[in-house]
Amino acid sequence: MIDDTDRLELWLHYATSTRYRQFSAVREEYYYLEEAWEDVQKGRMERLGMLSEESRKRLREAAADGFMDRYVRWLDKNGVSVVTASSYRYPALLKEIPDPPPVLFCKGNLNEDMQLPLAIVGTRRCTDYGKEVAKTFGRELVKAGGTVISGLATGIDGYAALGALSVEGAQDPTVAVLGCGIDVIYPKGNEKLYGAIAERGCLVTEFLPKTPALSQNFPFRNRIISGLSLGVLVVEAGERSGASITARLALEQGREVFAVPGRITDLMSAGTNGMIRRGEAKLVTGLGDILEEFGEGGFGEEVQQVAFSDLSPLEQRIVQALETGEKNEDELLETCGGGVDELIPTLTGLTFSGIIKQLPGSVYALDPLQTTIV
Amino acid sequence: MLSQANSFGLTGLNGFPVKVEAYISGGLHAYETVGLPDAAVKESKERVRSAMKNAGFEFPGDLHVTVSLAPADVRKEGSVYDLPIALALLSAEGVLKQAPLTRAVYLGELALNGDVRGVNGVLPMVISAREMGEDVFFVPRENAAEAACVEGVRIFPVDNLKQLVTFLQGDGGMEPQPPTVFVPEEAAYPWDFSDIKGQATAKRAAEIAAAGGHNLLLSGTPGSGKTMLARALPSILPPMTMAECMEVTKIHSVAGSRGLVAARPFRSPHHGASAAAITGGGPNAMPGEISLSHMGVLFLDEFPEFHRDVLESLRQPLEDGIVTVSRARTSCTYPASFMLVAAMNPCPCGNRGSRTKACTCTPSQIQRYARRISGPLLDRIDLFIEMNDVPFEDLKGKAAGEPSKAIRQRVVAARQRQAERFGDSIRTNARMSIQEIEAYCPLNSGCQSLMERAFRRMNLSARAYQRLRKVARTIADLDGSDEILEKHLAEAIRYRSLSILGESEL
Repeated sequence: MIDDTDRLELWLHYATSTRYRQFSAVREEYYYLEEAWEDVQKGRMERLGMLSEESRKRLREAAADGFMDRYVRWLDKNGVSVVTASSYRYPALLKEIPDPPPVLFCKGNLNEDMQLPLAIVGTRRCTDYGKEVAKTFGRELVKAGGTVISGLATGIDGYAALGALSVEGAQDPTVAVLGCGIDVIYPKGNEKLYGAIAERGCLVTEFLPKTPALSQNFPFRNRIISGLSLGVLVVEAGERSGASITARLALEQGREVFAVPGRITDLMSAGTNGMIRRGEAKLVTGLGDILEEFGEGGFGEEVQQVAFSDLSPLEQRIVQALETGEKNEDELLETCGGGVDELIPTLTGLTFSGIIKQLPGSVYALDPLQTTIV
Repeated sequence: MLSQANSFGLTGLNGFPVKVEAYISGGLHAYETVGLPDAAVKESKERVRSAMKNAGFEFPGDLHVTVSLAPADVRKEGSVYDLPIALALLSAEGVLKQAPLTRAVYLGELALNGDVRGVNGVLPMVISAREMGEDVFFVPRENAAEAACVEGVRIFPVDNLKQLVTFLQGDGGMEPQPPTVFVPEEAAYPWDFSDIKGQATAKRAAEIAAAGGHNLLLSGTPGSGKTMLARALPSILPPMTMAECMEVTKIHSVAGSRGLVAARPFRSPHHGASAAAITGGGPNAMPGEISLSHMGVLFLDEFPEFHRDVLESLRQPLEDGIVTVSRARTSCTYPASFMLVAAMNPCPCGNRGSRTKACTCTPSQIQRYARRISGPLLDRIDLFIEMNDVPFEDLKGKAAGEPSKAIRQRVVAARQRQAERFGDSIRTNARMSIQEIEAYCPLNSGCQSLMERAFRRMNLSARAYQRLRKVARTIADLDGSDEILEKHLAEAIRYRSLSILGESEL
């Protein structure tokens, strides 16, 4: 179940917990984590100066005799599997977000080849309308071959998962991302659902076992919900709600955002209506509106691959310059050289090839949704 | 006694000869001016009376005086007839001989002390009169320089009535004005392209616009340099030729400016301007801003804020290069071949696309704002460009750009290629007809497929297709290439993308 490389990463994750910068700093320092393990066991902490006092303490504690054995045995006994960022089983979409968790604890089967993963999120205090809509979308999405990603909260998230599970015989219909340890059932009222998802779908968390459901955990959890998904559907949300945070994170991660409209007098539709009004979310009245976004010429398999070496020298310089962020033409001219009469046709060519895109204000950016440069 | 003096009048830019006749007879004292005079002409009686007396001559105040301005059925306007009326009266009194008054043309307004003041429209009058065979002119000194740029005429600048009478009596004292030598290079432009830092794309677009006579739409955040770029544009246009200068000076002369207009005009009317102010009008059918910017640049800042009817009235002149102003009594045609430079904010709050400030507009607000400019009008604009705001630190650091003179050399070379193509020195690529586009802007197979992709991506109209070919032709001309290459077309496509306009986002 849990092999030796996983063990070492688990060990490092145990010490650094959600302080991912420290985690990756150690990974950069040690190409082979075995060396770190040896160093710590022998009390040589010189190369681990980047860690905080607490992390180093925990690192030593966990390197002690039998600790990791007990840890892994506990995980196995509780049916918890571990997927690390270096594993082929780690979801590809999640790897694209700015701060992917290095370790995921899973209960159930995390399908590495999820079809059409879509997050369905919303308020905990949902109305009957929201409940109905969430269940319907959950059910219809799974029927269409998709996977519902949600947060196992009361309200919209829970109903969406219920809808997904209502499809008989569906494989891996839903994934629930927790804001607490994998063995903590929160909210208590969802115990049945927790069990059902563990059995037929998958529960996922980045938090160490036994971590309580602290309110500051949820924004972190939300980035994984959107990170696992192609898009986020917000069913009902108040003016300031966690669902809006998920939607914003999704936009930042370059994921699609959809919203179900509601009556203007409904407080719980103020958030979704606002997103539609501001143009942050696409108005959705049926699953077709969502599928259409991911159909022809959309996401996923349609991403073309372009070899960096096939590009002209100027194109290569442009792509390199844009890798560090969007730039306007003046800045490109400065960093890439060449005359303006050479640069502009090249930019048009790259835009037409789908390698870069033009934003308002004559600003250019790479377009990873259309093209991956290899 | 009966007498006569020659003068000239104007309708629009065309002059017509006016014979000023005076008849002094006995009888009850009276003073009548006939021949459809306007108020200014009627009031000339008081100026003429005072000027004659103060210059030391008799005014026939106690006799019956009739002044007639022939032809009698054309309306006469302005103060230009003061001088010929005074001379005709002096001749009728016997102070002057008749002969010199009919052998020259006299123009000028009189001050009460006998001085001669400048009048409007002297240049077009002299040009028309020259065509009708007149070759000696007495004009106010203020107007002498503009009149003397006409070839084959003798212009005498007049300071005051006394001096002129002395001269006409044969006692000398006046010298003809030396011909005005036209030196286009002397024209100094207040803004130079080297003053504009950064904005390489916008400058390039301006160069293309200047080379092909294309109209330009600038969109950018406040302070991104739209106005500066527009103001610097005349400095990269080719220098005006003598013929162009004369045509421009004629229009400006009618509108009341003195002297030769040697620099390309730059007009920037406020967005509150009425349609009449822009296209021309008023009771006298005066030229409007579009005619005053003939051969130059008409800059419309805050483009969407102009009244709808004003914007729509631009469509026909943009196509034809002339405008006909019709009023109840007159109908005048003025040339109006100008380069339109329009500037707008990218959205109502102005910050869309800025990387330093946040835009607070909703998509529907932006759409409403963009929709104020009609499609047909946009179709007449070839180049769209979005300008970024330049951070202050960058402004300090950047080196000065290329000076206007260097850019102008390339523009002149490109215009030269166009002149050879069309066999006409003023025609530009922007004014090509459909047939000419077919003939001069063929697309090779590479360009064809590029064009197809552009159509698919940008949802272009058929008009846009022709416009792209014209702009690509100009870019090829700037490059010194006979053939339109893919890179030329690719660059042209760039200048059709403006994110605020639904049509064009890449």
